[in-house]
Amino acid sequence: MFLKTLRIRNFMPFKGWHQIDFPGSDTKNVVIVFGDNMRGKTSLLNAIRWAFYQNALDRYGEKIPLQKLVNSDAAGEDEWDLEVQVSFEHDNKQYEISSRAEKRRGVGTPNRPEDFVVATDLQINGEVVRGDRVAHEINRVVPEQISRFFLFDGELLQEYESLLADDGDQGKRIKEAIEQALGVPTLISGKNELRALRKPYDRQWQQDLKKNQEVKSFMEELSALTKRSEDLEEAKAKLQDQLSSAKHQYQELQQQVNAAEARYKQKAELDQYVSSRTKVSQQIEQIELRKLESVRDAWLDVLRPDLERQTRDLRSQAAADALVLAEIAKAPHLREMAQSSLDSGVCSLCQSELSTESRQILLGVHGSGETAGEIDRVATRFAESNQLANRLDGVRYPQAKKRIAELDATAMDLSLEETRLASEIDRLRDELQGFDSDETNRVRRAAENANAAIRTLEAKFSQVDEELEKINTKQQSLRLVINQNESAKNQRSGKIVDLISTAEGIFASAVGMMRDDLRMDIQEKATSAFKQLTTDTSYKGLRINQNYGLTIVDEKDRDVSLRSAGAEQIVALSLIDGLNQTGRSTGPVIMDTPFGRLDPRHRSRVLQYLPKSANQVVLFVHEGEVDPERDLMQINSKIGAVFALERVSSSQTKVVRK
Amino acid sequence: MVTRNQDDHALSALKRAAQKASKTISDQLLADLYAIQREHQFDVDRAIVVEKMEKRIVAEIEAGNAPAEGE
Amino acid sequence: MSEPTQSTQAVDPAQIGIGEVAHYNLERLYADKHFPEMRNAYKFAIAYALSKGARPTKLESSRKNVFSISTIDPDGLLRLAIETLYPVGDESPYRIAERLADWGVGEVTRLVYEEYKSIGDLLPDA
Repeated sequence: MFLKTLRIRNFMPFKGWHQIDFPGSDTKNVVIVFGDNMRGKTSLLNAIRWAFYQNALDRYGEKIPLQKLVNSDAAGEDEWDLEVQVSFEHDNKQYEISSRAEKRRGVGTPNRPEDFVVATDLQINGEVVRGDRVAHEINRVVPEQISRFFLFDGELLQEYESLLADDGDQGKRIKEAIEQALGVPTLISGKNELRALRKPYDRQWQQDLKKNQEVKSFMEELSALTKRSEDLEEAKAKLQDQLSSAKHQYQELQQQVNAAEARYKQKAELDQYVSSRTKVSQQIEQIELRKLESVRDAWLDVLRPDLERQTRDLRSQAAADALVLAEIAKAPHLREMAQSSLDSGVCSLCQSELSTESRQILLGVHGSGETAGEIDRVATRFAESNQLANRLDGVRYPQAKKRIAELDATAMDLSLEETRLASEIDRLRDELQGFDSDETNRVRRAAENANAAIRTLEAKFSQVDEELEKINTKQQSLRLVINQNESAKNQRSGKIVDLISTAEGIFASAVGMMRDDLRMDIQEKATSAFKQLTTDTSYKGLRINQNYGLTIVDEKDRDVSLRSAGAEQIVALSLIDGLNQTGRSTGPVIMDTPFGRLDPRHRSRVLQYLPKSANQVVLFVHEGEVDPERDLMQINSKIGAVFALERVSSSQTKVVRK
Repeated sequence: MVTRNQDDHALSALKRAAQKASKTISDQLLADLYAIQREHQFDVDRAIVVEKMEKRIVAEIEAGNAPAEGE
Repeated sequence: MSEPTQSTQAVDPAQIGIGEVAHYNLERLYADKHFPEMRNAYKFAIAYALSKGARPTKLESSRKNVFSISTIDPDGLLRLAIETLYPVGDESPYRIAERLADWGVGEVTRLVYEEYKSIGDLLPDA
């Protein structure tokens, strides 16, 4: 089987029509679709799933209700119909499947799946397939039970990894799916239906043989066993019903538990935010205290301009005084001479009488009539000015205004943070309204009880089965004995019973043999894939367990128990590949984010291996997972088409061919 | 999904199981019964399947092929 | 002829005070957490008055003691500031301080409670 086209309309983030064409070549059989997380890669996977089986799954593997599949913008415009069309080829026949959902007439705004009408059309080679046969035809080519293996969501790799635990619930479900894929149920239903077929003939034979005295007592014993067997079958049917409803109940409770876990996480988030907010509030308080503290000596800041001006004035005065003092210091002898001339009235130099002008000049030299007292005064003033200026210079100003501004800025940031936290807290409180952790614990306990009930029922079921087997065996031996009797042997009804029960036994033991064969087959194919994917040369291969879980085996045949997340992923991919090859002839492999946890070397190997392992490979990846330049270069020759999912808005994506 | 590969596995298992059985029945019968199951593996209505198997078995008896004592 | 220098010592009081209305406002400013301690408010008021060139001649209301000198001016900076920026004459700078504080508290109170200023707002820009 290989895909040719996918067309989608109004499905999840895809508004209007979008199309992906898959190249038809054998050599270029890889299609890459790039998209960031939340852009719609998983939606494409779901679109294919929805086209085939009319269901889409969320990350927990639960069905997404139909009204949530409609593109929200389209829904906003009251356009509530969506459609997915897939065309593919299989066994040389062209298949066109188209699934549509429309709002039911009379419905205003749909809020549950029942508000829609869903229809699926299938054409094979242009001929329309009758409605009731569509599911059958689709399942022949792409059975829903194994869809998880070729519509592969990388996020669900954990499921496969849990196969290692023999007892896990997940593991059992996967095991059933695998066996379904591998055809084991065909033999099982063969066995069961042969047994069902035998019963009327058994009764007939017993009737016929009632007249045979020789075998009468054996027949009576056989009759009794048959009756007991029928009672047990009835009990079994009842148990089956109980088991179904217990499982259903458990599922519902488990859903509630899952929802509750999400709420617990939110509660933890809320507590975290509340604690953060308290811290921030405390920090804000601290800042207020520090602001207050800054004001302690702010009185000095108030006086700073005046004090500094005063200091400058003092310095100027001192500088002026210094000049004067310097002048005075420069020429003491001139002053002495001028002084004595003035005192005597005669010039000391030339001994002539002092004229008025001379007297003036001498006064000038003396220095504007300054007396010793004047000089002292200036000197003192000079000293005092400097002293005071020095004291004033020594004043430390707190610069409170600057501090306060800085603290205010910090307080502003903190306040914004506080507001943000407050709104997150409100949001979470709203969402958690009605969240009752007691209630949650109650539900969790109820789920555990339901699980225990299931186990009990399953145990009873096994018991009944065991007893039925025992009865069956006894019946076989009785029949053998009875058939020694000539006339008994020749009863037609007896012959039929004999034939049916022989066939039944053969089918029964064939089931065990086929399981073993298949396990070995898967082991072989998975190992071969594993060897091509792993980079660790000490790993010899893989070993398979009863639940189709795989263990890595080293060269000494020892189980490698601790594996890295990357190794887990490789093993899971090997299992998928092994299953794909064992379980079906050819078909596409469609993988969503398969490379999440792989290092570049493993990634490179997986990329190189995939195109060989299936006839068509579609990879949905995001750029963080795969480096378009480096990783894709290696398989460039195999890439037939590349698409990108581009954001139109938060609620819309478009498909673009690159 | 049963493919040709799976048919091989199933038929081979049936053959081996038949060899171990205390009575022998024809390989053809087993193959035919298996084929019926395979064709109707997804049918919900099982009554048709059981009917077909019945017809085949009865035909086998009428042809005189009762199970023989085993090896 | 020697002029009297500023070193003519007027006698410093042991306690410094303020008018009782201003005292009430001082307590109010402190209680409303505008200052870490009342003494900071007191000095701030003095500084504010000095910066505005106020020359109050008397207290606005009847006097009461508030602080000891050693409490209010342990490092002598207050005295220095007043002596530097105010015509002290032969009065003790601390007596002058009381009138300045009294006037200053009145102004700061008005600015804070009627014009909603913060103390930071009253500081000169850096």
